[in-house]
Amino acid sequence: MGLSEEQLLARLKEFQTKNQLEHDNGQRRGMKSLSVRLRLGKGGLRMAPQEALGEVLRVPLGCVTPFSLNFHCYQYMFNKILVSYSKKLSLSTHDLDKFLKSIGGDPSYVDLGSNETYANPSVGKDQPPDLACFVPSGSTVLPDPPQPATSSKGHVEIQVSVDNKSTASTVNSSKPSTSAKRTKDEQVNCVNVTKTVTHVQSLVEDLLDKTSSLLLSEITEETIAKHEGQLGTKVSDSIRSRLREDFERTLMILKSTAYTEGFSAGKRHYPHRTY
Amino acid sequence: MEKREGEAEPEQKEEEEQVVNPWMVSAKGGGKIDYDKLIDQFGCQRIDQSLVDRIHRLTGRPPHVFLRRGVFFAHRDLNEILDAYERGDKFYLYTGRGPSSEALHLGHLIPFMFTKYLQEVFKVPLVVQLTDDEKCMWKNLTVEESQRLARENAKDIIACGFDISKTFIFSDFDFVGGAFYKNMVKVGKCVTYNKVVGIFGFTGEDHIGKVSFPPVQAVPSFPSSFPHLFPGQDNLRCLIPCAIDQDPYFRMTRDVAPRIGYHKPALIESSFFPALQGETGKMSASDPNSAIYVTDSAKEIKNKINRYAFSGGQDSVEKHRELGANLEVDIPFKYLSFFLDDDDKLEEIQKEYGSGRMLTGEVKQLLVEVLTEMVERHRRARAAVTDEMVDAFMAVRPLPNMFI
Repeated sequence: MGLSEEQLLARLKEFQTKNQLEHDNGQRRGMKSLSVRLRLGKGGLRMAPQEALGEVLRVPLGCVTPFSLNFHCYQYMFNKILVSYSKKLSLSTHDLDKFLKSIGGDPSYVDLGSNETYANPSVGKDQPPDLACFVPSGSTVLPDPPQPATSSKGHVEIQVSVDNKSTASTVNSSKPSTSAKRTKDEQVNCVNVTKTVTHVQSLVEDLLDKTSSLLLSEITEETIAKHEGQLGTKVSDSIRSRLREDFERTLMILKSTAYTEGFSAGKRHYPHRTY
Repeated sequence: MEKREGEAEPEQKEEEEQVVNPWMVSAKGGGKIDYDKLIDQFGCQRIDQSLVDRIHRLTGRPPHVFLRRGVFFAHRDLNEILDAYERGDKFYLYTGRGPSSEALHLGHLIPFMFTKYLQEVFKVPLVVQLTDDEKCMWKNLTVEESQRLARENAKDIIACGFDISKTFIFSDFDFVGGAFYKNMVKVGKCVTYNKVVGIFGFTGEDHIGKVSFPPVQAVPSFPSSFPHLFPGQDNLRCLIPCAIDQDPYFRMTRDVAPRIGYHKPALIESSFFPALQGETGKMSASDPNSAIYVTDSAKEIKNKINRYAFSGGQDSVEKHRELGANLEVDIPFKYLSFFLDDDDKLEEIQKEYGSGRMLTGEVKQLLVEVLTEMVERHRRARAAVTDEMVDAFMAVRPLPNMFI
């Protein structure tokens, strides 16, 4: 007693739909959790449309099928990318970064934590969204799409594994396919802050701006009348006391950043060195 | 005279007696902590003005606001550390954090702000212990979660402004082993089960992980625990800035130290940072309005201070003008005494607010400005701390310029 051809096909379709639904549900749960951790609300993150492949990644449809292998003892990750149906390409993380930067991207590697943390993020008053700093500033919210998300065919999702951590790379492109509205009270974009800290000219401008601003606020008709000849000394003391902490903190971060860059370069050059 | 080290705490005959240990702080009858009684009970010493002046003289730098205002108010053997420093003998700093939550509030930052000052003025190295194993055990976190929190808390610690060329941050799960573990075993052999029960109050229901934890927090006091930092410097002294509830760990450590050939670590201890709702209130992770968090926006800080900061002002303006504010219980004034660096300004507020000429609203407004500036500065610094920077701070590496 077996099944007819029609029954078999019906059962096969049901199986595929169920698996696809489970895959989609799992993917939706994962997206929801990531969206919350990015401070985008529950629906602020969605899979990129097919058009993004050409616009953002500048590769044709159908050529990117990421498959990463994780070797714990190596610092690299391999992405098999279909260049064509007859050829495959392996990329190290270094090369992937180079590619993303060449198309104007600014990749960030994020440890999404354990499966449980990924599936059930604890975000609340006591646990603020831990990935919020990776959302580009000036982003705007798009309304939810009218139709539910369908298959992931044609969407690009690059899973990166480095060492034994699970990470997801995000491309900070000028045309983000997902975005979120930032309120006036949003945190400073950490990528921009890092750039300011390492870019000496920007840092100097920032410090000079703070000094100028304080200087101008201290010199008023009232203070001129009050302190007269002693105004210079008063303003100087005020600048020293009010800006010292700011300057120290900023320059210490600069020192730490420079040290870290040297340290990381040394680690890459001598990966097995121990002290 | 100092209470004998490691001696068991007197039994709590009455439930109303205050209780201060690493896992519980409660005042008598739900009131305020009696710090004089605590000093007497623990057997440590008060930091007086002459000691603050001595630090000023030795370092050539103005004493930190926490010293001037008596936030760090007690010590053990701080004078010995200063004597050694005066002779040209260096020391290192040791502090730590139990990473039980991701969000830090201002109270959490206090020991780190003060330790950063000590590192700067004395030009000495620092080790920071992240007791992820402790929180895994006490808070029943998974190993992975406690390690993740440790790294997140490390970012806030780094943002306080520590010098990377003089600072080693480590987590217990990553670092325990080798010379560190050897010292743990040496300490463990010197402390009986009865003694550790007496000091920490363990019961038969507590698992053996908890009972065996104290040596983990004790041994960073010994330089030989860090052979990559202090090779051959077994004589190097250690100064531990911490809140006074950590004193039991180091009473035990000081009792053991001479028996295994090490200097007793010195301590400099702080009082507790009050909750927004007052000294009798409790800061609680489940009540976000009980504290100002480093992740709070300017708007949230303003809202919390205006709505939840317990005021010592009177019920009406007329009554306030007549009687003035009760500064003993006024939280905005207390917070200013922690964070407003200008002594003259604080004294003026004390006079004007205490006499009723200044109103609660003005004091709160100033506090909002002070805290907002502080939190914003911290957040900017924290945003620049990368995972690679955390790796660098936590790398087992020599620090060749640690005393420069």
